[in-house]
Amino acid sequence: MKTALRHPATGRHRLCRWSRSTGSPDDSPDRPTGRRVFLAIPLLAPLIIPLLAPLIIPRRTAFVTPLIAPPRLAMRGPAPADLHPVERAGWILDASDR
Amino acid sequence: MLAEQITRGALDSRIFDVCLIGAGPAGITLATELGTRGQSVLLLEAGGASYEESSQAMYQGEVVGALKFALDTSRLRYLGGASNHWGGFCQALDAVDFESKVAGVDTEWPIRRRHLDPYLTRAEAIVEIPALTPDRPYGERLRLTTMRFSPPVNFATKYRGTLETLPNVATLLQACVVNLQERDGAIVAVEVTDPDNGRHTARARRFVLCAGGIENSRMLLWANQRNGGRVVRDPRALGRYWLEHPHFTIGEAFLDERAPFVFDKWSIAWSSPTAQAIRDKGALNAGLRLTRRNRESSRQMIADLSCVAPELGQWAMAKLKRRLFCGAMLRASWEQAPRAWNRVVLSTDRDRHGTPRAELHWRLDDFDRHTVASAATLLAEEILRRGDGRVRLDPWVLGRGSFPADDEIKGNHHMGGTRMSSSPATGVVDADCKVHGLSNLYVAGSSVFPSSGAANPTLTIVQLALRLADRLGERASAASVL
Repeated sequence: MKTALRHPATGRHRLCRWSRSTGSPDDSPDRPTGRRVFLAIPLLAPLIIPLLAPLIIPRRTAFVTPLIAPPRLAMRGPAPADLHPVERAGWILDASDR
Repeated sequence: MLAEQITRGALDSRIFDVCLIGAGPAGITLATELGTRGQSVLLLEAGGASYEESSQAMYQGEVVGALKFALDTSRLRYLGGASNHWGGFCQALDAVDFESKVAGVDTEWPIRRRHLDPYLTRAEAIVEIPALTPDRPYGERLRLTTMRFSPPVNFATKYRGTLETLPNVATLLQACVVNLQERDGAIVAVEVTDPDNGRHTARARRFVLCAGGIENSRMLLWANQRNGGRVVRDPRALGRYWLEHPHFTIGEAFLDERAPFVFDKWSIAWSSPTAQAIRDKGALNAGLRLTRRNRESSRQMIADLSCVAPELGQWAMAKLKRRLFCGAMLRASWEQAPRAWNRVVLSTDRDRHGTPRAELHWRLDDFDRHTVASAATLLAEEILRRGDGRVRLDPWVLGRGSFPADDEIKGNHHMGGTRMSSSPATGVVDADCKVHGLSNLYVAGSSVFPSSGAANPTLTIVQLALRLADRLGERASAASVL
């Protein structure tokens, strides 16, 4: 399954899947949502999340997405002076796009 | 009057004011315009009233080049011509399209857009589109354009009744012109065959070829050969500088909901480079089409983006889920550089009337890639600069690989071959669409385009036909005074 999802050019995973069997995210760095974790956590979540979040929630989840959203996409207005388009696998990106 | 077939002797005794050869959008527009002005008109259509395989087979021919398409399906040989399968897309040529833009690339028309503007409103009424609206800027180097959609008008359906009732217009179907007869610098008659290969002669004071972007060249090449080179006396440009609008998928994009693109009824948002950007890039005009995609294909696209920019992809996916993003397929059609080697020639193979079939030599070159890559890069960078999304371009656009042969390739826009030019060395007709060196032979339709811009050609074809009707009316008045 993971092999089939690998990008033929880069070898990176095209999509990351939440593993339903283990209840934890797979080992890919891309796009987990983390929502199931929140559904499973009982009402004490407000107390335990600050303690456990760094351990059980992968770094890039929907929960933390707004904090790491690329600023270039999030804002509009005059072009930044340092805008430097780069091409990666055909994508025309800002040099700061990660 | 409209006759399904020529009867023997029907043409023998008459001399018409104007003989129109071909009943597509250009020929029918001219017939109705001249007919309502009181001129006697003979409109000759090689095909019948409806599609017939045997008639359509006359359009078979070979395309020589890496990218192939069928000559007998990209046009139609019966009353109404190509309007019988026209999609109805309408845009006017841009002012810059009439000018020279790149050194060494001859895109110059002997007229300017202002010479066609007076005919725009009437042309819009004929193809039944609302008035064109000005483009809106998208940054300093791009503009958001608007495509107008004709219902589409089928010229046969719309104007057959008019052709039947106008008393001074005679429309003859299944009347194929096989030769022009030249004498003393004028065409005095055309030879016409019927389906039984019976021969007839039609006489008129002026003749107009309106047979389409390939047939006009083919007819002139053959007539020139049969008349010892006296029809197009300087044949250097005859059949040459043939043009298409290449049509290819060039990439994809995802767009923020705040991006100012307006998607029309076909889910397409249109844009083009500005005149200044065209000149700065040393490229020609192009039409870029962002076609909205469904969520699943948008999701796949963003997943691909995640391979090169995981955080950006993750963020985009989150927005897609909230329907704040949409994916779009990026397609382009563009203006080709007029090249002498892109041309219509006479084949060694002949049709059933003995006329050599058309052989089309057509290829794309590095300048085509330069034009489309320039426009696509402008769009990609502007979308990036404004924070409206991101664009991915296909490898061949970026110079890696050749033009994909499995794409749409062309728009069925056959242009050039009898191009308009102030000099017979570089064109076949003058600014009034009159063949250089002859006093009474004209050409109508997209074959007179010296360059194509990026606009779909039908609206311009109708504008040029209306303008030619004015010219023919002026000359008729002058002749009657004399």
